[in-house]
Amino acid sequence: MNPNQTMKHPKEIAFTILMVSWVMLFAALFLSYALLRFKEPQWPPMGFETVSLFWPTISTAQVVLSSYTLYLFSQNFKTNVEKAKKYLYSTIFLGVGFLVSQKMLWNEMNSTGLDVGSGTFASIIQAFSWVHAAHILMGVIGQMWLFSFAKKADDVDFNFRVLHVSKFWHFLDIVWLLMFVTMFLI
Amino acid sequence: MTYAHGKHAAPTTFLSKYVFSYDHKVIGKQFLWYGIFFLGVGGMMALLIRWTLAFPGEAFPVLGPLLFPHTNGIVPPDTYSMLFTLHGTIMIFFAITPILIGAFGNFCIPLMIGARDMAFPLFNMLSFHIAVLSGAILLGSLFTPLGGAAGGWTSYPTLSTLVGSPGAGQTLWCLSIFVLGVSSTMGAVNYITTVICFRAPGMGYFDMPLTIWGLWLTAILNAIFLPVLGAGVILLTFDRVFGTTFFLAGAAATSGSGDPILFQHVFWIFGHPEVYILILPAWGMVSDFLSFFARKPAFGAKATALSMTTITILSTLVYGHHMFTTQMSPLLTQTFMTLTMTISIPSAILFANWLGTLYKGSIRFHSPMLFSMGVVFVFGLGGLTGLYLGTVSTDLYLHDTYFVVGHFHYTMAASVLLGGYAGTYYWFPKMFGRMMDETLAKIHFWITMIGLNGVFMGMMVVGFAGMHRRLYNPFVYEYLERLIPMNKFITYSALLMGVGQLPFVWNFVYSLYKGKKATANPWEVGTLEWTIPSPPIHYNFEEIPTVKCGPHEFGNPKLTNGRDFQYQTEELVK
Repeated sequence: MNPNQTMKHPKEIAFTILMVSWVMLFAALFLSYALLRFKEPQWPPMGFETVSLFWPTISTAQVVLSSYTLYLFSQNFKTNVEKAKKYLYSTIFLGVGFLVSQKMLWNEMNSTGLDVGSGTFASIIQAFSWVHAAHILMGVIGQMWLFSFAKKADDVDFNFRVLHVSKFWHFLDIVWLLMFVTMFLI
Repeated sequence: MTYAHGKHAAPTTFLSKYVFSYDHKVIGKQFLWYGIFFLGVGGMMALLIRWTLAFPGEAFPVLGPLLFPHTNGIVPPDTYSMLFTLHGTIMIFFAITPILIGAFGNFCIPLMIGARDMAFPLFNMLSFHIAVLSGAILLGSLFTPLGGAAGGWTSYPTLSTLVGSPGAGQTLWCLSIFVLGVSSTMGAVNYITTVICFRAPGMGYFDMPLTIWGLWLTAILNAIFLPVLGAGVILLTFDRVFGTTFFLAGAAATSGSGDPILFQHVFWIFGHPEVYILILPAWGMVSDFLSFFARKPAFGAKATALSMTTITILSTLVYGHHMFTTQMSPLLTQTFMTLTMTISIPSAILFANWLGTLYKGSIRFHSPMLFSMGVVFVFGLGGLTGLYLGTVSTDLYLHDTYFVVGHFHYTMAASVLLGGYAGTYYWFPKMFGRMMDETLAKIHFWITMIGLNGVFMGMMVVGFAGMHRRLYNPFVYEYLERLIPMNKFITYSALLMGVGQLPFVWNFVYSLYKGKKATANPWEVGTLEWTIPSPPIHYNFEEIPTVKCGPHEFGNPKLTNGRDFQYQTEELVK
């Protein structure tokens, strides 16, 4: 026992630092969005319609639900293999569904004249959601990395894996909620 | 709970030992070679730039006709832009960062805090290999049809958008910087975690050598601010590849137009911490070396550490001083100016502590000490000239002149270069188990010192006289014609400095194989890395040491063991 050393595991500390990096990445994107938006006399800029809420709402539902199912997975993977399996599959299904609904959103925007080249309004929505979707893809891959949970439930490293994949996913969930509110609702 | 790495067998094959090594010492050396290679590339680019400024329209001797056959050896204007862009990019991201942070960070952190390796050795190895990939992308960009990036190392739009630089060079630049950001972030996560979790028993934060403080604070800044640059280059890449309009002003005037200044904000939010990212490791090392070679405890070591921390925090709040000329509101410019001036306070404490350490010391003028004192001198000059640039009223006139170039070369190039050399001479025996030649090292120091002061002082003079940076041939303007002799002087100084590096290269390579065998502790210093053989065994410490005193215990009159210093593993003599 060494009083100078922290009780937190190095993996936990390292992941916290990584999360800070990710927060800064998205914070910089939000800053760019804010600067571009406040420069304009009105938003959306003159000549543009707001984006239909249909696909963004579906995305929101998917990502919020998936966060919940992932939480249930992390609560159950040690005790109830069958239940946990169901929750993990639903999370991945919802995650992939999120990517599909995002693709539908981009298609819809492109077909209604809101393609990326049409000005900053479409640029920021599309580019921001590309970056976010790329992270969602990473998150889904991370969840697939949890498939072996039944065998490794007692493994310390595996428990950290569950913790970190969950933290990452909930973080992306929060980022999307902020995007949904600032880009589509207001 | 303590976290100590177990010991396992040393790798035996060439690949696992030198290429895909998990060993922090090997990764440190890999970064050292990588950095020295790019230092050479960036240095050659500097000489090409200097030649063009001193002898416009004349062929670069020897190499010119080979590099630019279609202009008979004269550096063409577009190539000139690529040269200063890539000189900056390479020196900052591919030379200084790998040497100061990659090499010394990897090599020193575990050894100086008494750990067997980094917290995540695999991550560490990947960090180097990703850095290699990034370097390959950057060098590859030079061979694309329209050549490499040419928008300056800051890559301001519109110079860096498709309007200013068509062709793949700038896109590859963005990609390369993004990939390098991933590598550096991985390194930073590793460094921070290692320092927090793997300090030897008994070592509190203030028992760490100041070198570790510098590297640790640097890693914290890296982890926080590199992603911001990452976001910036992602948006720039989208503008170039997918046709978004973030940085294109007036592209669609009625429908929400992009803003070139936006990139400057994002760039400098990262960019100002970046200059401290580069200098903090050098500060840390110098703070240690001055004490080690003056044979005195570091004056106010705790205050030095806290000053560095304060500067780290303040460095995140001052980025606007790079943008005084972007029609910022006067309220903002004054705020940024005040915050910038505030940095003088911890810097002055740091500086006073250095001088306090030297005062009445029994100084040993070994090469690391000479280079450290060089840092004190050039950083003083660089820091003081920064005040003129942080002040709005003077910056408006000095902005974008060679005064700025001189200033940041004094701080980022001269100080960091001399600090890097100090570290190389100091840890070479521990890295390779042999000593470098002191006489050659001293020749290297004096030529470098004279050369670099000629170059950077000259730059400040021509800048003060009004010469703008980044101009291909400034002398087409009549009022600058008088500056040709001064520019020739700068170029001759640069050549001298270039030639001055040859003794170093020779000394380094020769000493690797034929240098005098190093003892375990050639400098008679008490920090943990000197308690083990040179070079250290595979897992550094046979037994994890217990730390009982600080790193700067020198000249204690009560010492009776015939030494004037104490190892950190010894109980402090009272």
